[in-house]
Amino acid sequence: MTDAYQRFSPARIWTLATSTVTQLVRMKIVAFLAVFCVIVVAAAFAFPGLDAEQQLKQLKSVSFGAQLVFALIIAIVATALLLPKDVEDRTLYTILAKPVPRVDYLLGKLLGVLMLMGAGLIIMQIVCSAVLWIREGMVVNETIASIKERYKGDVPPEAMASVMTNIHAQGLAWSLHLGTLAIFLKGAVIASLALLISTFASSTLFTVISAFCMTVLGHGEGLLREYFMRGDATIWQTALSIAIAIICPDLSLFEAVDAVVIGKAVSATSVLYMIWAAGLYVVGYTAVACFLFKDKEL
Amino acid sequence: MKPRHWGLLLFLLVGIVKLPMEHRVYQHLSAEEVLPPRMEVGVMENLGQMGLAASLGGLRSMVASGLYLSAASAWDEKDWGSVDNRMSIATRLDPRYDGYWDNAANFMAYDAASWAREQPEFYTQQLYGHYVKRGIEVIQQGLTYLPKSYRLHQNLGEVFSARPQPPDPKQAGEHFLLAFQNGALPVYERRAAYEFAKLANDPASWKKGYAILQQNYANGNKMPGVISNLKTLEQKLNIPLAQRIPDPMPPQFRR
Repeated sequence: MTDAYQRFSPARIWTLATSTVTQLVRMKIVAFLAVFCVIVVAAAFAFPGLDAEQQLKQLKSVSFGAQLVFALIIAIVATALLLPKDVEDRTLYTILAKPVPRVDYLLGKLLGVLMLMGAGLIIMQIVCSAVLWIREGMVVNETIASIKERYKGDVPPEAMASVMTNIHAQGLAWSLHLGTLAIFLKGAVIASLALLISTFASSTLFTVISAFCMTVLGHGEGLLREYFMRGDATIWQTALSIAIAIICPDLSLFEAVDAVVIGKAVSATSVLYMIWAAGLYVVGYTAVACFLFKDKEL
Repeated sequence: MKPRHWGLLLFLLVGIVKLPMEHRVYQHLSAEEVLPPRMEVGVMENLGQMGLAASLGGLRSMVASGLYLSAASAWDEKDWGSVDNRMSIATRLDPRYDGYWDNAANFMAYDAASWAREQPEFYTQQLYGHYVKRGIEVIQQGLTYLPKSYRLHQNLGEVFSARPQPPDPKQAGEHFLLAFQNGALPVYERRAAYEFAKLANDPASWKKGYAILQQNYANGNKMPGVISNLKTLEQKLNIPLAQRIPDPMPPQFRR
């Protein structure tokens, strides 16, 4: 083995990552983006009976919900498909027959998934922001007209300011983009977990189901811990709660979307905390995946 | 030891190391109200399948939106039980958004209660009272999550002021005042004083109302509501004549 083979190579990882993106794009996974655009535009005009504030709130909730579904699908399904697809196509053998360490191969695959997910989320957020901005302008004009009609043109400035504050709180704001970042971080953790599972899984279905179960448990980890750690819990329940806490990541740490949707400002420290937590999970799970993949018989 | 054993060992190590990190991050994000409050187990049991799935899938906000829309369609059919049930789940899934609490309370205290009053049955009054009480309960639950929401205090003040029979001006005034102190329009401070002026025998509240209206009057706010309530409070508090505001000029002498 040469030194060049053993050395960690960002260029090699980048090549693998870009080829992974191409591979996933060819699987037509990003077609979901077109569906998303239709959903967002429909959501913007689907609730004319609601008041202005609620219309914007519904639009944001639907958009972020769709972003989360996209991130989860990419993170679980696309990641689970990667290794088995490469084995099936024999691409894996071609790659590993070259001087490419397995670690580089895994990192390249994970980076490719994260790049695709990140790019998809950015496009979705741009579409969502544009539609929200347009819709906000429309509902503001409609509301001003309706208030003027109600007050017969003589609108008290403070009444107008109060209504506008409520509407703008649901409109476009910089903090909204942090919701997309939180979704990306959650997706990154789930993708690294799915990659870890796929290094020892015997089938794609096993990886998908296991990663999905871990995602559900991860969202409810705190709740389960609370349930099992009650004073009257048996020793088995306590042991189970400890096992769940050790095995699953706490995905509820990335649920900043609810706060962002209602217009709450998120501090830089909170964002850094989320990035730190996601970084620890991704690095930890990827390191474990590398060890397991090193030993895997292909 | 084989790499797979190292991998397993590392996985356990990561699992143990992450626990204090998770705790620290959760504490910080919860304190900054970035994360939604964790649902209590008792509440989860009442959420039903949809609420549970939403909570475990990370889609709380979206499912709450869906439930809100579904409550709105139940509202069209005047199915008040379903409206209350769906809004209860929506508010629990997205408890930091005061709009849901506000709407949920209005559905009960105004819409359902008014509908009940129009029914021909003999128990309409009880039903009316039940819905108004439910509306009040909903806002009070919302205030446990959002104690500084001027919107909820404002709505609770409105409900106490007009919906119970008899109305409760003391509670209405207190909540209007809290609404103002938390960012509502200045009119709510005056409305608090108007409510205090309605009280039959509560000198402490009268004094609070008097101070508010006197301040408004001194600042040049001489609207009819301010003057008439100030006069009422002057009489109730036995303010010396010299300190009372002048009587408004009869209309025929005004320019």
